[in-house]
Amino acid sequence: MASIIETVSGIADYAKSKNIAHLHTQNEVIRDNRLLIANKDVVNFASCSYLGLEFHSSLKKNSIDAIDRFGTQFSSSRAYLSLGIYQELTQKLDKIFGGHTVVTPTTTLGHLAAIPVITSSNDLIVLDHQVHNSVQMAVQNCKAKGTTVRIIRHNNLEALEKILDEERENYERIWYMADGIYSMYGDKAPIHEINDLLDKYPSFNLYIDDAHAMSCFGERGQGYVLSEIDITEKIIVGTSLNKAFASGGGAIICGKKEWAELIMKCGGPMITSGPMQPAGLGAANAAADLHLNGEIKKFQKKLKDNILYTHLLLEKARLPNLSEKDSPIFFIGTSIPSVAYNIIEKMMSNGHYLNLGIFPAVPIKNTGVRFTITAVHSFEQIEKMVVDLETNYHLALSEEEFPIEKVYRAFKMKLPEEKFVSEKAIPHLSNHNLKVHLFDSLKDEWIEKWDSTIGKRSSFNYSALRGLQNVYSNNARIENNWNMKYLLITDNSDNVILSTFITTSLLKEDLLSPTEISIELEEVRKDVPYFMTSKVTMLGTPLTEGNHLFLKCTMKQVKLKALNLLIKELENIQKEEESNSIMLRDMVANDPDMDHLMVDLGFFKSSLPNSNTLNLQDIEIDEFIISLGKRNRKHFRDNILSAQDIIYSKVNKDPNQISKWYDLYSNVSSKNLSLNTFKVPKLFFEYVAKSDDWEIIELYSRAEDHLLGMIICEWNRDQYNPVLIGLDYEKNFEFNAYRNLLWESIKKAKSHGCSAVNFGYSAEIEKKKLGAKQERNIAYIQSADTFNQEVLMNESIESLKLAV
Amino acid sequence: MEIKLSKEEFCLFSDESKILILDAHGRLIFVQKINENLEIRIYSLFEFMVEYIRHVEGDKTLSIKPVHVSEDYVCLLTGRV
Repeated sequence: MASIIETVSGIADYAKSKNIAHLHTQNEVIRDNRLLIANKDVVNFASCSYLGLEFHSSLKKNSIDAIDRFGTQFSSSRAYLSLGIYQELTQKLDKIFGGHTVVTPTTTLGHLAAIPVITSSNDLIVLDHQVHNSVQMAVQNCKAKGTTVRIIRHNNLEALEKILDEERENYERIWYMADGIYSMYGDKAPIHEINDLLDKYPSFNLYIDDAHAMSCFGERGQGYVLSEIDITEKIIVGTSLNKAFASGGGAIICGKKEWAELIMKCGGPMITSGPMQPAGLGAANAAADLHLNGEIKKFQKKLKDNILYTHLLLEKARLPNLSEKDSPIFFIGTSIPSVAYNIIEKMMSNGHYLNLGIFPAVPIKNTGVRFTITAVHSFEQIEKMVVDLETNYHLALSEEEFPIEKVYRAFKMKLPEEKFVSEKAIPHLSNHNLKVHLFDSLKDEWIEKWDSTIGKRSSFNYSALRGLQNVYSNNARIENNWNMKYLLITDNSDNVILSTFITTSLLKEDLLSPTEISIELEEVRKDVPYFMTSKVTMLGTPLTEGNHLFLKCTMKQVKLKALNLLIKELENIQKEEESNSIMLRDMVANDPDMDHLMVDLGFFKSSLPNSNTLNLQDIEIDEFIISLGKRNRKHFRDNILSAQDIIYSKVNKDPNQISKWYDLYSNVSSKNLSLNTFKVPKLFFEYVAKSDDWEIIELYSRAEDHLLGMIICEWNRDQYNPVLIGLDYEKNFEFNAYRNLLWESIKKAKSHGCSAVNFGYSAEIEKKKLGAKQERNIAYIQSADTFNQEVLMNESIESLKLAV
Repeated sequence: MEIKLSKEEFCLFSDESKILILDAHGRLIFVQKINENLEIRIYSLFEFMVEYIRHVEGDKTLSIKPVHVSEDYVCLLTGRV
């Protein structure tokens, strides 16, 4: 599965190195939106304090007064004792929201207190795909106690209603959990339509996080949701007192009094976590007064005008603005991270502090520049920022050689008029004299270049690949038709700098998922064969394993240029073939340069199974056992040598055996879902029987002359590559057939004079026992749509059935 | 990028913000006091004219809106050429 922590850590390190994340202010005093960061005076366009109330004299005075009266903290669990000003605040918030409020130390702790208490194992939780991470975290606790969880695509009320129709009889309550205003793109939940569903379905309940709308919307600053609809017994709203409310803490507002009481009494963090402290409570009480006495409207009006002004200017600048008209959160799409990093660096040096909107908050291919507008900004500050943003946006696209069309495509937005695009946005590509050669097949003059570079590795010689290409062409089934291309990049002197082969084919999306998920999906596929499958453009083919990228050059700049050209070709193929993802697989795990480049280009890093290679160079078959460790020698003696008297092997290419081989392979293929691929077609077996590049080793029992198994290997002069195995499982244990087939392939490789056996993925322990060394592999993946993968990671396959 | 609002866009803002926009981008071309308390100002803003009527003593905005006033007419009133 994807190594998310590794990817996020890499992104954070990179952003840190560019001085655009994990920063600290250097101001002695902050009185408005001007900050000193990295010795640079900047205007803050990243504050979530949308009304600027943190500078309001009554909040500051009340906060100081509370410290004077109660000290810096009141340290007691709220289950025992709370400060009296807590009660005061709760009563004021009840008036603001018109519901029953529980004040919590933070919004996240509020969700953690509320969600597990209000839901039971008889409930179904439906999560919006983009609901805030803090809600998703709390829902994990519900999953642990047996509550069913499904995920639907963002704001897809059709899918929600389908679930309500189908499941209303099966669950006591069905909860939809969403955000009022989403924190990255600033878009909103369709609250009136959701409210209609609340009226229509008695068991339907709503839990909604409205943190980013608190104070900004509504007569009393009650937020977006409660300014549009009234709270009822079926609605719970979570909100923040730490954004526009400018005080710290969070609040859970319930339509039903009993729920508020239950959360207060039983919500884990309400019992075990510390309370909000006097300074925050003092400020919150003053902020609540501003909401109730109407003073808040003055700030809301200024914010509204600032938002309007920003939208109008962005429209004139024709930047890809994804935000909704009245949201204080703005998101300018860049698609790939490198453009966003570039813009933010430039904006910083122009005196504007903006944020990145990047993975994991958004899919990596939907990266962008995120900024916020507050009531504190002046029109002049907004004007200067938008003017600089327009200039820097186009400059960054040009410097990163990323055409604006791709940005609009990534966000499924309509391109501005043609003239504008052609004049302003098409970057000038300079290839540093590298030449790209992309072929469907290779002519003689290129075959030598191929076989002396990438063709030397594993089973990648041209003849073997061409054979595979023929097998996987013109077939009836979609999955048995690959589109293969050969790519070579050469320098001025026609030296090959980079060579690789690229295949676009249909893959199962659970290729790398845990076996239990694949078992469940295979059940669905009995009725819907192509359920959870999508086209992938990848280095290599679904049947080859090993490092598929030959890259030879000492100059880092040239290497990066060649890789950039490779990515561009992959993206072109992806566009032509309409595939969902690009995958650079079997790559070296620890290559920081490559990591940075790939993250910049919008790829995320994912772990692959280890590859297993046995080096044969210093090994003699007669003395093979000596090369093994003590424990493995025993294994070799007990399980392999001991069977030699009752089994024998032979290389057989008799086409009459094809059906038998296919049956044996089918046994393994249906049982082994650890790498869940489509079954190899029978045509492949016909091809290997005829090809000189391949051989089939059969294993028989001596007594009955029974075929126990077979292993199909590609022989690439220097390397021996077992690719497929077939077994008679009924006899496997008795004859140790699997282990002996591995051993037979080692002997055969040595007899051919090969220096290594590439055993590929899986069955790592068995291969290790025969001396194979493991190498960590990773893939860089870029997907147009990550919904299915994210749902698979959440192990919520039921959600995906909605797509059927 | 040129900072420019249309008449219709200007009308979307609150009076307080309209004044800020006038201060930043408007050109005052005519001021007349009707009596001790009432003042009319005409601004040229982007590609249109804005009439701003305020109560002087109360420092209160009474009206602020785009108007059809030709520059010739303003010149006539002010004696400017």
